[in-house]
Amino acid sequence: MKVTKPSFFVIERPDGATRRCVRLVSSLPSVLKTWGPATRISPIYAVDGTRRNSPLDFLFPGQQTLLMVGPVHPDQFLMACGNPKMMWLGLGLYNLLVIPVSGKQLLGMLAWAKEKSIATEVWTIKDGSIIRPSIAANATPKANDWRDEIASLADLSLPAEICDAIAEYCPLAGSTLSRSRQHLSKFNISNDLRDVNDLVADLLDGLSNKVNAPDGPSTAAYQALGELLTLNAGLSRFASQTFAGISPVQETECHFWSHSALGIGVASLALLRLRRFLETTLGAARLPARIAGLALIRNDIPDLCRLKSTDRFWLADHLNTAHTVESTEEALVPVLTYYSSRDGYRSTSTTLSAPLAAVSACNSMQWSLLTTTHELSHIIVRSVLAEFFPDLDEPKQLQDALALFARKKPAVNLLEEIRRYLLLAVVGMDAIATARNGSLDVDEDKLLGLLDHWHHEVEEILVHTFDFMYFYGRDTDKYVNGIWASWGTIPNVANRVPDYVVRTICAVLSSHLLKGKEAEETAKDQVLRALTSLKDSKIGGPYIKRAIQYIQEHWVDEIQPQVFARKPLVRITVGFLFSQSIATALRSEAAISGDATKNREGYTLKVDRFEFKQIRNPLRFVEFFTTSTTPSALTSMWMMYVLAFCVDANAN
Amino acid sequence: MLTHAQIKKVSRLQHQVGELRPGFLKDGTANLEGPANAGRLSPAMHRARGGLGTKAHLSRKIKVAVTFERDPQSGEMQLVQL
Repeated sequence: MKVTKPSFFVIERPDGATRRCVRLVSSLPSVLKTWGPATRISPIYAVDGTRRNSPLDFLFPGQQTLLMVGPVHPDQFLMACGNPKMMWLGLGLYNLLVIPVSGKQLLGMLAWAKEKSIATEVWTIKDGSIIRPSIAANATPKANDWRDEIASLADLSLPAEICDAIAEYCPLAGSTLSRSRQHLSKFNISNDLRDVNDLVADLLDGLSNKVNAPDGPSTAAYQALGELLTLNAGLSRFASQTFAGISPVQETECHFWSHSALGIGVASLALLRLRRFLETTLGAARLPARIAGLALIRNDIPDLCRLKSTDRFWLADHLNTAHTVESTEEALVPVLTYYSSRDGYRSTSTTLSAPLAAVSACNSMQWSLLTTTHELSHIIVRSVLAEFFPDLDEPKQLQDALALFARKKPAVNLLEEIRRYLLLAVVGMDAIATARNGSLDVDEDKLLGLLDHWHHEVEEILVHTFDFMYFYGRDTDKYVNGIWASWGTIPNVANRVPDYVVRTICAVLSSHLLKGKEAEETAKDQVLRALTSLKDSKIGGPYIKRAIQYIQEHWVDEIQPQVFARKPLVRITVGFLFSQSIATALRSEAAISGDATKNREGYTLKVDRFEFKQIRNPLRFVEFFTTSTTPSALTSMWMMYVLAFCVDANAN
Repeated sequence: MLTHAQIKKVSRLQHQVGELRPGFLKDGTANLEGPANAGRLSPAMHRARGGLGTKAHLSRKIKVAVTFERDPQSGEMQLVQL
């Protein structure tokens, strides 16, 4: 199925009119010239090859019936219901706008949608005026259990700030849950939200008896508040973007104003599918629990400082053999996904955002959805670091950490030995940064200062190496293209070029650790070649040239010492955060068949053709089809459709 | 992606040494304005609340010296504790 040029679906109430009107226009300025308080728009694409060519400009003359249906892949709809008179595709949960050829065909469409639990809304329109809207959305299941759970949260006695956050959370969760059940029953979002609700209940557990604590709310209360505010922010954006445009369509609006009529539910589902794939592969591997399980390894612990990179200890798949210290039955809380212009690509333990620009530009390398892997890596690595770092509020853990410095021999178990190596690496990074020779006196305050200062850089090096190994398959060119193209969209990136250069070389160093004294030079040369190629292909901006110049002029005096200092972090990632078996699951794709040397490496999907062909690995799909330097709203929508509707959920 | 216990642990670490977002943190005060850093205390506030710093006088000092040296056989650069 092919589509033609975009037009705009416009809902408005002209001055003096008693009813809302609807029209399709091809020109946005013409809508803006008559914009009123109730005007809303969404871009839609006319489907080529319906019984009459669906027009770009259409005033709904005479009496017309407009069916809104979704979310559903257009191929599946047409296969079941036959060709309508006209049809348009959009990004809202009602993603198909259809004018049937007859009342009989309309009834058939409604019956099919009902059977498939797909929501519908029908408008009878006379000369552009909506005279009779009729909604046939799925009835919300009557189960009240989640309502009781939410109500019990609102009934707790909590510190004032927490009460405010819960007062926001409860109706927000209730609204999102009920709408999910009504419109997205097949996507199991309500199950995700109930897992989130369980987390909220757990966060509040124990706070209700501390309302009137003499010294004010506890640190734990503020930590819980931080998590709650983060969840509220993610949930409200997810809900407003996804469920704007559901029934009654005339009465809901999306705050993403270029999609204010129908919302961006399909784009939300695309991000959701991507996240679910990562959860069922990387998340299900429970890396943080396996890392914690390294504490159970107590025999033959080597001194990681003295262990050569060629030692087979580094090459063993420690994660694959590690025991987790938690039950695999313990629930993993899903990450709430949403789009945000302000947050861009950002993650917390419970949320992940992608830039709003990705909705209409994710086909381009600058706005690639593959960058979500970097944010997912942050979630995993932060949890791993919480295992590596001592609890700074626990005197015993601090004393134990200081004792690791004094030990000068391997620790009693593997986790402790990694912690010792990491703490020494932090001292080493600090020594290089401050040009310090000689010893450093470290007490508890100094340790806090060191970790406070270096925590972010430690996390970034681990994340870059983790991302490079797991998601880019150690392909330097793809990695450099991917991250440097997306960095070009960040304001004032020029000041960060030196940091980004060091992080990129460190990530690539993970492929060359066995090369002994040549390791760092080889990594540097590879990155330099990839950056030069990027510059020649005109993808990169002026900052690419600056990065190349920085490497050429300051490799010896600035970059190389920093890479030396960060090498222990690279070795920790390679040795203890990477598992080949998990990486294989992340990168395999059964839907790739035929000649993999041809374009798109064997995918039979064709760009901008809305065909229902299933894929198994959404990450590989994004990787193969995000190759353009020019954003295209149509191709981006096509990618969103593939991700939302064509990922075989059963395969994961 | 994480269990309840892991989320709480990350929250604790963020509270202790986590990322600061410009515009959200007021030095020396608990931040209640931004979702990312609510509950994040500055080291000064941390000490004031009876956290780490108040115990400093009890803490022993450890001399830590590290350097980076090439392994004489492989030539690879390694972190070495002196």
